[in-house]
Amino acid sequence: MAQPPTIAHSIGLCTPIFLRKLRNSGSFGFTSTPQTQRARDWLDSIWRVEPHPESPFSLFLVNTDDDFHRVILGIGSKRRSPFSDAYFLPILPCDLDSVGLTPTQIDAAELDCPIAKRLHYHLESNEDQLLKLCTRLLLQQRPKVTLKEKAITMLGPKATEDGCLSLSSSLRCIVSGCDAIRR
Amino acid sequence: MTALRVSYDQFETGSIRRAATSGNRDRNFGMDVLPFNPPYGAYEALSRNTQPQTDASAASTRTGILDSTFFKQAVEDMIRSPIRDRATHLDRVSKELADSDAPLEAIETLIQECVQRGGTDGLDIAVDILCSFGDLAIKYAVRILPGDISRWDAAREFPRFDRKDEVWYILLRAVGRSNLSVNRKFPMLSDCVAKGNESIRLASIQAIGDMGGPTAVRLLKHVIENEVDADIREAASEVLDDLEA
Repeated sequence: MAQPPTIAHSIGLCTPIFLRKLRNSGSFGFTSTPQTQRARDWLDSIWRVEPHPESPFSLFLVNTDDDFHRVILGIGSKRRSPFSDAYFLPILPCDLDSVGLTPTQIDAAELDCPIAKRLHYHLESNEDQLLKLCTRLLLQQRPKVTLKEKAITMLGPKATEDGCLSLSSSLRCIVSGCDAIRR
Repeated sequence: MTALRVSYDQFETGSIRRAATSGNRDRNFGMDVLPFNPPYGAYEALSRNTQPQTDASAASTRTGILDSTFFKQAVEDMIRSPIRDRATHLDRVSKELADSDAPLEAIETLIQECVQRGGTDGLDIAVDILCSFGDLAIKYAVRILPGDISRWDAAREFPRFDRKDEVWYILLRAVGRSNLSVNRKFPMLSDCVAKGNESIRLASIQAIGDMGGPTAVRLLKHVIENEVDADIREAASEVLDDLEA
């Protein structure tokens, strides 16, 4: 039986956690690839996708399951089906600190859900820092976050009830602190 | 290339033969290989289309260039569109693709733009459009297969990230999600899961999950029993669990 995604079950790390969206599960690479090569591959498969280098890298910060759900639905809102599979690379603040990186909170202009917007961060980084970060995550055997459609779909009823603007059918969010109206 | 390949009927009736050689698991269903339907004849026919131009065909080409410029612009607009306008742009690109006189070229434009400039959402956008054009996605895959198959073989021993694998990810997921019959999807998905590099095999397994149904369950079980690579076996188990849940 599918369960709705939670930080404890789907990520299994202590919060706060930054999430970098993966283009597909193959972006994460394979254990049979030598680690130094895989770290270099991650630069291309996870980080250096357009609009970079013109723009900084996008991350989302999650502290609670509600944050996590907002991010999942916000990202899903870009799809034809808002509940499509999604994959993330989880990064801890200490991982970023260790290579001298500090993300900056910047609202995600393209998202409709104000809460998901506010959870968006930009990361300015040079190649050396990114490579060190990738190497560190690989050495720690950081697993990717895989969210299947069935699990994400379970977020639908609550999001509909809340009127979350990540769902195209919603017009007004009744969640306290959000209260967003579709214009 | 030997044109032996496992068909949907062979798979479903259980007539595929097991590889006799031990240590060489039956990942390729006991068959020599490829290519999926429509076979290389279609590829050759496509290649023959590159004839010297007459005046009429040159005029037609100019129109084609104009069309492709508009189509490329439509794709760029879609990629840059805010979410509230995304559905409108997806519909516009879908309509232009449906009306295109050169649909395979349009698919190439769509895929290249989404892979090169689509950011973290690029592959998803292309899949969302192409899943409505399953048959064309297969034809495009047949067209690019010869250029990639040797690369897959080379990448088997030492898997590396290659942006070209993202093209196949789009095609496989789109075919898996399309409304084509299982009979039509099966050759491409089973061939790619048998003969692709790790990245292609992973995408194929996810596409088999998208296809769903009893054939997908049997195919995934076959992969789990015969696949050598642990990452791929694990991915197939996850998809199978999801299908059986």
